[in-house]
Amino acid sequence: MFELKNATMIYDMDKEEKVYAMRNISLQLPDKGLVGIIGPSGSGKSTMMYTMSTMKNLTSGEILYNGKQITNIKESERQTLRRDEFGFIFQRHYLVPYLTAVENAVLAANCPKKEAVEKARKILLDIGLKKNELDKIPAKLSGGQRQRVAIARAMMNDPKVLFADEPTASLDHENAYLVMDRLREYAMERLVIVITHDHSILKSTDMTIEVWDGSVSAVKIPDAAKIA
Amino acid sequence: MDKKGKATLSAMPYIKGNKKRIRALVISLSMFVVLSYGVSYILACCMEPFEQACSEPYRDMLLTSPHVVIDEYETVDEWSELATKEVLKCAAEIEKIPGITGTLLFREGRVRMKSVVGETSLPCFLMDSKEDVKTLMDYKGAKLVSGRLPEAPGEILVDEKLAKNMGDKVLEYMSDRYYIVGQCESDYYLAMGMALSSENDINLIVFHPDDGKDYGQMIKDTGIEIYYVMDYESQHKGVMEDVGSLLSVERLIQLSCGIMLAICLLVVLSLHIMDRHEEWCLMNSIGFSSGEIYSMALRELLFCFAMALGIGTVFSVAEGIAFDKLLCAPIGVHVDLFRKSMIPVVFGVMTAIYGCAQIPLFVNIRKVCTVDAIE
Repeated sequence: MFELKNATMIYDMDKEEKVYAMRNISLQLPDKGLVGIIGPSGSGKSTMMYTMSTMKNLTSGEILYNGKQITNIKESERQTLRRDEFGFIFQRHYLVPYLTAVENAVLAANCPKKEAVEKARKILLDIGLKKNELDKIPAKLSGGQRQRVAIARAMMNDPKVLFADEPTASLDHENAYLVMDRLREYAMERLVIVITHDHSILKSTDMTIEVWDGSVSAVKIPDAAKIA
Repeated sequence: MDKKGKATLSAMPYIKGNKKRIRALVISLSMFVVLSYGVSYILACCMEPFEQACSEPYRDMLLTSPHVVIDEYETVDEWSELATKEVLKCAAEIEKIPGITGTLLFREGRVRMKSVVGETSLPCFLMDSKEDVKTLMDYKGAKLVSGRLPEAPGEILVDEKLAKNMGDKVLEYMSDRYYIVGQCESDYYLAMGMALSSENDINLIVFHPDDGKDYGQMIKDTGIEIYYVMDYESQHKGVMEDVGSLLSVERLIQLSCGIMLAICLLVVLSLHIMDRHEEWCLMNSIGFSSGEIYSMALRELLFCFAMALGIGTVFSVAEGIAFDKLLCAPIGVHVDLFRKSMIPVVFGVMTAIYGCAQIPLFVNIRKVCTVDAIE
């Protein structure tokens, strides 16, 4: 589905000391499955997500999505891709403060409102929100609950690729595993790219990419996944 | 969202989720409408009754005074008798002018009339015979509603609006020997009666059709020497000069309020928009274009303006009715509730404010980016 060819992303291009967020990364991601990108803070894993999801442009190299180059496409094409093909769980949730949990989840839904609301309620309940929390605004929800709302929003349109940046960062272990189970289930039919620095939640990925200082230091594919 | 499967941004979630902000915005905008209407109505209350009283009766008649020279007389009464004869001769000449349907000799008194703010005086038509009073009444469509018609010198008939307007003080500018014997109902502020023998201000009422012709000029063209012509055109022009100066005041107040409101609105709107930067960046990140976000914000704003116009109109009507009951009705003046002249001003100022609101909106929309830039 995704293919990165010598993908390089440099911050502070104008300065003498350039910062490489991605350095000549070449790799290929499967069409479906759970892919974990792991690395310490500042290693470039989030930048990798942003470039793959068309939010950021590469400095050099290219990224192919379903065989099509998406590095230099028009802004409108990027928006269409993000809206129709991708789902996002951001590190800082980015919930709309005046909307309820359900309303936040249906923000970008592409089905009729009634259907979207029913779907949002189901997803939110599935990932651990209680019924009485569905109509609360983000300020009335805990960090974990907000994270779940963000996850529900990302799943609303059944995107082909779901990017999750530290999806379990604000969850306790029990809920973190619950969310990961849900993402794993989702990854049966889609591609889920999880960015994290927590090894423990990436135990059953189909592919783990270790990033260090802007470079891919290792790509691990479990035997079971290879056989599959 | 629509049924085609493409997500769309609606203006309603923000409106529903930010009721306090929206309420404050709608109230401030609607207060502008109410204020504009109030200013327009109050100023109209000052001038419109004068316009009705001073120019409307002269659409189908004019007042004039022929210049007569009486060289030989011994008493004022003798002068009056001779002058009357001369004026009647002029009247006969005037009646020969095509279109002119008749004349009436009258001696002029003045009655008081006040508006919500300000006061003026109107002619009181003092006739030499009760038949002339009846002729004038019939011509102006006045009907006796109480009391009786003037029959003896000093007796006056006033229109009921005028009676309500000034009460006992209506005849204050005239001799104490004049008194009201009846009230009539008419479309105009009318006062007429029987002249005392001491009245020497001899004038003519000239009846003509309301056909837009300049009968005053026609009279002058006959060669009859006249002191003045008081017709609809001259009266209307005089009133409009005064109204015009008040209209400038009205516009100034409306524009000042509009500018102050626009400044306040821009400040408040800028703060609101800054609050929404992350929200809009999120929308952009999940696939909505800046154009779609801008359009959503425009619709939110448009909703507020439409609401403000609606609410403002309702309150303005209530305000107008209240003014009418409290200010106009007690003094027998009538001012139209519908203020046509304020509509383009209010719409103009509202459109200008809506236009100004695009500045912070546009500036902030240009800053919208994807969330990676924030992180």
